[in-house]
Amino acid sequence: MSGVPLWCKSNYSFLEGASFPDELVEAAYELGCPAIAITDRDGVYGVVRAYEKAKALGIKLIVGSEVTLDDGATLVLLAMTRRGYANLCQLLTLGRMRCEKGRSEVSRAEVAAHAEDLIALWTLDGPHEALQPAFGDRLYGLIARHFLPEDVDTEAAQRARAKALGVPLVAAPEVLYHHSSKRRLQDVVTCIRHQRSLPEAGRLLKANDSHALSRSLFEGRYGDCLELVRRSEEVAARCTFSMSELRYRYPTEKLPGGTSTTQWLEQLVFEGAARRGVVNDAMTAQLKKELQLIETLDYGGYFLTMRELVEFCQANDIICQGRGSAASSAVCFCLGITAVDPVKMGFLFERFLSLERAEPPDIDLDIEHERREEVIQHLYEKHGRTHAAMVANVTSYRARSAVREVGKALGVAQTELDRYAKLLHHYDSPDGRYAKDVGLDTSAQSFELLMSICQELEGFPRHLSIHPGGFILGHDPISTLVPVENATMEGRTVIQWSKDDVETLGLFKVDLLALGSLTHLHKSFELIAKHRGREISLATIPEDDPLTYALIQKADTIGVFQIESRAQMSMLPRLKPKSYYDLVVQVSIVRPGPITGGMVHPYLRRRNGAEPVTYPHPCLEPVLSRTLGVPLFQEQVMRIAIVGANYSPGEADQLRRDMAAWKRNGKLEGHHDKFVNGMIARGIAPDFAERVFAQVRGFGDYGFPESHAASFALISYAGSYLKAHYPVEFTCGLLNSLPMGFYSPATLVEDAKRHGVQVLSIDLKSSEWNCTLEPTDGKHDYALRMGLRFVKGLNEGDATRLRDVRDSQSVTELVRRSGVQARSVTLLAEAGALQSIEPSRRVALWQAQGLHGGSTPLAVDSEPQLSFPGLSVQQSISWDYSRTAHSTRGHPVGPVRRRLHAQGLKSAEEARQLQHGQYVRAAGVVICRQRPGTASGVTFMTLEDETGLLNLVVWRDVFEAYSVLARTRTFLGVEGKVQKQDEVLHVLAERFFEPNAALEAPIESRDFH
Amino acid sequence: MDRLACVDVPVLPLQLLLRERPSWAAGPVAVVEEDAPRGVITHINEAARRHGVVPGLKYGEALSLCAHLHAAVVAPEQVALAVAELLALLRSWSPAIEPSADEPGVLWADVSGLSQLFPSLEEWGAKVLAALREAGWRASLCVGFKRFGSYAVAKALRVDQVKLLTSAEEERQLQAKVPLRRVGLAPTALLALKKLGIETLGQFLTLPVGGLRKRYGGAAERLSLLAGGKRVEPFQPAAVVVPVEARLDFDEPVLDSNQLVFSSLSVLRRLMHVLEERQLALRTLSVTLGFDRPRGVVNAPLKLNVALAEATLDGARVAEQVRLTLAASKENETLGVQWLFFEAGGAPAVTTQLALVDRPRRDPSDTLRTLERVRAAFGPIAVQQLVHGSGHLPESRLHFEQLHDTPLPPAPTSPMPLRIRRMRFKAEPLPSRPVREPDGWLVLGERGGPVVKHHGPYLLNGGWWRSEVKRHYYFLELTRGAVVWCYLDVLRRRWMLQGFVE
Repeated sequence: MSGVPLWCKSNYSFLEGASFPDELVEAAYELGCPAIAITDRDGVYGVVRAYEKAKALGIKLIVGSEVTLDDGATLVLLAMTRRGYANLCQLLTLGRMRCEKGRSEVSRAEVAAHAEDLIALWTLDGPHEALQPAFGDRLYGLIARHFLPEDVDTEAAQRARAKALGVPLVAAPEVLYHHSSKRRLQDVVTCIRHQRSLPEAGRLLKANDSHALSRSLFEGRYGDCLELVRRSEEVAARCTFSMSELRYRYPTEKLPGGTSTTQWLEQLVFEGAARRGVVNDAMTAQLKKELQLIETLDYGGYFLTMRELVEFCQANDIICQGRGSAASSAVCFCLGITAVDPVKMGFLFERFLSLERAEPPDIDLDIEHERREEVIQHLYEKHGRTHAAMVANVTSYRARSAVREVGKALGVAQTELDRYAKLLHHYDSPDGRYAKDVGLDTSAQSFELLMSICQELEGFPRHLSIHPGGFILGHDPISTLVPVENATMEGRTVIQWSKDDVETLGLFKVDLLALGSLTHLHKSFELIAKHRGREISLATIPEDDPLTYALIQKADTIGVFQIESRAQMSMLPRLKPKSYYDLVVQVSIVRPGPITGGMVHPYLRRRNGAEPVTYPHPCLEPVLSRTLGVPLFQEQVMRIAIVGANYSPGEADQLRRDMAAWKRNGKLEGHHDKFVNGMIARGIAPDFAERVFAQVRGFGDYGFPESHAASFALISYAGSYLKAHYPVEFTCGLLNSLPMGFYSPATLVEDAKRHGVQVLSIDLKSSEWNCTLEPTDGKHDYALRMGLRFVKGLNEGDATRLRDVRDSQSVTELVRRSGVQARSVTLLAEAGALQSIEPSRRVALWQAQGLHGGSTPLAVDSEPQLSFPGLSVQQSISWDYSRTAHSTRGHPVGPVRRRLHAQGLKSAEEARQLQHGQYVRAAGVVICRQRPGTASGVTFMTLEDETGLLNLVVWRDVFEAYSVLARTRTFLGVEGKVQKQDEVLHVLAERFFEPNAALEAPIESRDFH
Repeated sequence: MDRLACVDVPVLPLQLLLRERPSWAAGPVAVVEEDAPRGVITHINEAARRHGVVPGLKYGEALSLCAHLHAAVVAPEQVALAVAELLALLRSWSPAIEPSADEPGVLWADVSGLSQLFPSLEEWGAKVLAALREAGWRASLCVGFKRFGSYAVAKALRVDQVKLLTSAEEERQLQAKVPLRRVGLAPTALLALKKLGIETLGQFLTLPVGGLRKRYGGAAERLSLLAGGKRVEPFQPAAVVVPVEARLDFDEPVLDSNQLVFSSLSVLRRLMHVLEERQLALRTLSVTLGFDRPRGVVNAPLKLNVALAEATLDGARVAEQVRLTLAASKENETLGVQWLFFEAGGAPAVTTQLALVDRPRRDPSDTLRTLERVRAAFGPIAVQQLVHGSGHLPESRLHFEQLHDTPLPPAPTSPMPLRIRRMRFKAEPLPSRPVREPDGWLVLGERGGPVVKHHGPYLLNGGWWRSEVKRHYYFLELTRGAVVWCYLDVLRRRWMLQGFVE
């Protein structure tokens, strides 16, 4: 096809285009276009994705953008050179930074000021005075024909003006999708953008499907003026810029006088090795090897930045720790970035950095979640806002959001939509399941449309948000590399590319991730130091502590990082970790990779001596010996590929990257034959080869490298140690670090009580904002006093003012002296936190309701003293749950236990006494529902009662048969068969019902997907 | 001692809803303010309550408690009509009825003296409930002594239950047991009181009035005062509104429409006078004609609406409109009129100051009067205006709407010579022609000549969500000068004529 499409908007022009950028590029390639321009609205969001595809297909990609002007008009700008691209990025940054999120506008004068090396396609409307001198012969009149009657008059006027100004014309129809079949999706996204339904949208919709990238884009449409089509090729030829020209310079750290980056890094590394006491031949050799490679690749500056960040954290008493493949670097270990000795553990350094790959290293730094912002602001301060920006996260349509918005556009009743959307899980696709349950007519044509368009919309970019912690830093201003815009969060700026885009272009990224468990550990350490005078840190926790491993082996790990989930807790009694490396295995084994690869059971059998340790081939013994002949880690898969399937190290690394991106680009399947056949040729059993490849697929979801698992296992061990030895401090630190982890405060409090921890209720006279420890004669010397932070709706400022006058003798005095609004006192009364002042919660509540707050509240002392009926135990617990999401007085199921027994319903403790295969009927509060992607639709639910937890396994057909009950009820009865193995008990649910005993307490389940 | 009865038609909007949709009655049902997830629930039935649904919840929240909940909106106008219906029905049973201003479905009836007409007041009550039941309403009824006491007890009764209170003391005792949620307190106040363990009127009365006002507002204070007998709201029966209407009978069937108009004048004057006394001007007027005609001719009464553009006190103008209306009716329809029946509706009169300067040459009120006369002569739908639509298709870019009272703005003048496109709202199929015609494409047949030039195609396609449209539009210039506006209907494979360009 002759002609180059110069004005193409992808779905990264949020809710305007209806095709992915790579689809547009591919369609252009198939049509035989010599080039294609991607010109998303006010941004270059989609160009990296387009560039990847264009590079693969060998088609020229022109980078540009449709820029919105402050008078409402738009201008298509195309980058001719690297300088033109920088100008475009800076112009877009200017427009974006002055507007609220999602909008951009620039003046014609500002466009003119950034015109160098840019081509402008102008619709010949509005004033030309600024544009024409700035662009000169790079200004073209844009003729877009879309078969509309008004095009005739518009074009006549354009031609007349172009002639008068001497501006050449070029054919450039607006492309919004790559195939005419996407037209209806374009109509729908238009409706979503304008918040109208299709019948209401009228002329907001395009009049026809001439916006498709098809053969008819130029052919026939410009038959009377082929020179305009030829001119589009001339314009394309003038644009020589390619994304591959982007050269990136990492910012230089300040160095002590006279030293080079390499020398300074080497000095720091060896000093660190000495400080850690790991100087030996093996370590020295490894460090030299790594430093040599770092120097060759010129990555020294990046390591110095990471080290500086770690130093900042240490200086400010913030716990941080590197994760991911960085843990296999001895340099990172010696610089204090990571905490596990990779030489001692025998980690594969090449997984982190290799000469062959020459990719920037990726170091992820976990930081206490409550203090990460300090580190982020330090980074901004150090590098300046022009040279540091956060990486974007593209939020895409999922089933739920797609159903809501497409349904609205199609005019489906909102209520049904809402009900249907609520029933959809994170992983569900909109395929019509559950639709009948909510009253949708699945036979209607509108329903068919709803489903098919939702499926098309799923995965479409919806808006830009901020990546949890990814930064890019630049020697040159970031805005010359990529446009920067405001994030919703104040004080944050974000680039227009995602983490994947940054990786594709090989840019350096600093990941500062928030990890609640580090906050938890830090707070627990502080409590231990304060109350017991013992200084503990991550580095000084005793290794191989028997009590800690005993706790882990019996899965008593609620609240412990990584091993507290339902699946991990089921595995612990089977794997019975006895050492740190066992814990590394434990962390890795309950992951999609080993599970889908069918590696879990063989490993367990071998570990328990039920199966001999054998190797599929002698050559794999060195690779698999530590994991008893079963591959569990990413590095092992890479090594198997090299040793067993004859991959080169570079190919093995490509395999790793394709594993990570297999869902996105599907390249992994291309490895199947080479991998499996390679192993068979080596004499390895086909069955084993297929299983390893299945595991490779699983790693694509969330497989762990060994080094990463080792970093996490360290935190898990530390948490377990604290729980075993300091349960009061452990629970207190955890409660003070919420929200984090798997469990609600109620479950954590119940767990602490089961461990003999005395938990005291919230009381204004004794409680601080956070939970605290109070001396007691009980088992653990200290009791846990719940903090005011658990009173829902109470803010910390009011809590502080109230605590300052906690010696008040009446509710009225409390309000008068503190000056807080009466509402805060009402909340305390409901929570039972005023019992030291007024023993009756109802009287306190009545008094609090009658106060107006402020410094001179109307006195209620003159009111007669009233009495109200006292609360029953069940009511007290209910009030606690309503206002504080937990109760120290009892579990909500406790008061109805007798009625449950009368119905033949057992407690969790009683169920634990049953034998394998027996039937059980039980009831409890649903504390979590999980449906992992690896579980083929099986849902795992956990019920809690006053005696403990009961784990349920719910097959898909049972879940769907009772979908409304199982999804929506918090107090649930279940009937099923006990499955008991290695002291691990599950109930295979067969039926759900509502117990004939209403709970008064409002409880929320935590649902994970 | 005077006796008062309170009739409670509980959850009136819900009853209205179930009358409309009886198939819902078996399951949980709610009335919502808006049929959307955020719509607040105002009324529920017992089945819904059993699922934990309570008024004040949002519809979406209620659905998570009760997946099979049916809900719909009941318009306030429907409720007002229902109250009027109940009022009319109860007037057959008591001369003085007061409908509650706060709570639709609650009505009080003066039953003093009715024990003389009925064996007992209890039997009277049973008959009232039976009459209500027959009309499709479920209610309870309490014959008590005080306005509030009878109300509270009636609210606590089961539907179809009649309670005759024998003494004021019994009324006071029963009132104290009435659940607080029955007597119209706001859900937030109810919830707050429930937290304090206050769930009946008796418990409520133990709380100080001032304290209640301070905490839960004026409504709680009022309830406390009413229940405690510290405030007495008098029984205020609704006045009977006499319609403004008149009938004119003729001794002999009238055969001349002028005679009809002439005879109507005095009646019209009288009606307008009645309205004037109510400080109203005439806004609506209907005339019903009764006939006495020879056998074989339809004798059913004929009702005619007289078009009035605005409320008026101008008798001559009204007479003229009546004349035009009668004249516009088919001539033989006004022959043989035996009687005329007039119904008048009033509205506040429009008052304008006298103009200080001369009237403008074009007075909008002239336009109004002209349109009024056109309507009178040709019927109300005779006056329409063209309005812009939002669609792409020519027929949805413009459509006609009935013009009410707004005068048309003056047409803008354009300095450019305009070509007029005359559009057919319903395109017509063009006659099929051979694929190749020796003289060229004779799109209109011989009369227009062959096509000499075409402009297009202009593509319009869309509507895929309803009924898909795919049209290729062309302007065709014919040898004889006509310009045809037509399109190829791609899906139906045929040519259609949309209009002409002049």
